[in-house]
Amino acid sequence: MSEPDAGRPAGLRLPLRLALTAACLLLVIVPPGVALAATQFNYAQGTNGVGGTYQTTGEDNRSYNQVWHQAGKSWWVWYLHGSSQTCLKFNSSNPTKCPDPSATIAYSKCSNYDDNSGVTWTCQTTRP
Amino acid sequence: MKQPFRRTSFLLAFSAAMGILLATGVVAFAGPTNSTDSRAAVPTRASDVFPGFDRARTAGDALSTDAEAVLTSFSPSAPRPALDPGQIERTESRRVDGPSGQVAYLVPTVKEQVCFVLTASNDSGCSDGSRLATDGVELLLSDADGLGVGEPTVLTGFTVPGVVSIQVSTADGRLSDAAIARGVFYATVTSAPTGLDVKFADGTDRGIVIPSPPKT
Repeated sequence: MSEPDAGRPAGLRLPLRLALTAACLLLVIVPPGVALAATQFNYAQGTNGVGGTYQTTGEDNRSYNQVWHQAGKSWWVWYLHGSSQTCLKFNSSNPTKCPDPSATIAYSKCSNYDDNSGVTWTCQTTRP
Repeated sequence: MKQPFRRTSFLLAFSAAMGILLATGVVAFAGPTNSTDSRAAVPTRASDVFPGFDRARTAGDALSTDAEAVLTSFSPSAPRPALDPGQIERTESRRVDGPSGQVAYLVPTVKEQVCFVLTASNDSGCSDGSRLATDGVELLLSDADGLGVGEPTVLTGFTVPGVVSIQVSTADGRLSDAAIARGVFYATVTSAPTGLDVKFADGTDRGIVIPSPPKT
């Protein structure tokens, strides 16, 4: 009766086990990472336009919603689900950002309160 | 005896001097012709007006791992150079323990802005310090589910040293005081906030309007 590893050099056992463990870990970790990865895109961009409100063309699951703008100028960002607002933020820091995911499909929205700086602003969010 | 040459020279010189004076005045009054901005003065260094930078740095001011991850993400992700707050100077960071469990991590940047993370309200961003210099406060408003419904609205941010109180007015007519500690303020309200009344140690105060958000 022979051992299971009979004929295999003993020095290869540990490296083989480590490689197998690493491969298994990658197979477990990578697919959820790929599934969670979201693509960022710009849904509005412009200059000045105080009082303007902008939104994505459709609803989707979002990872975050933000607007890059001149520091010191105030903006709103939020998600819109039907008629409900979530993750509402208002401030003058740059970027003005809702860092949380939308939980359900939503429009991402941004609104310029007083940015007449002449600096080009950009509203960004993600899609799956 | 008349001296027409001298009189003419005097008039020409006088007119030229007046012209130069008027031109200087007009240029000073008009400002740059391409300017669309009437901002108040921006401090040379935002760290001159943000809390924490008026004392020596200690080991306790080191950035937390989570805060550093957020703060280092700003500069590389800015969509254009004009909006880039600049790389953070992590060895100059400060931690400020505000009221209601609000902890602020602040760090200056190579572009003289200050980037910050506020842990309790999950707010972050970068600032040139202009709001603090103008209003005495830098306001950050958050609401998980829209104003006046469900979860309370959080009003937080930073103050300059001379601020002694901040009163929040809300749509239901109530007034409530924000807690202030070490240059950080924090308040929650259940009705839509409409304004802040900021009182200074010298007896002056400043009203700040909080606008209504767009309806949908």
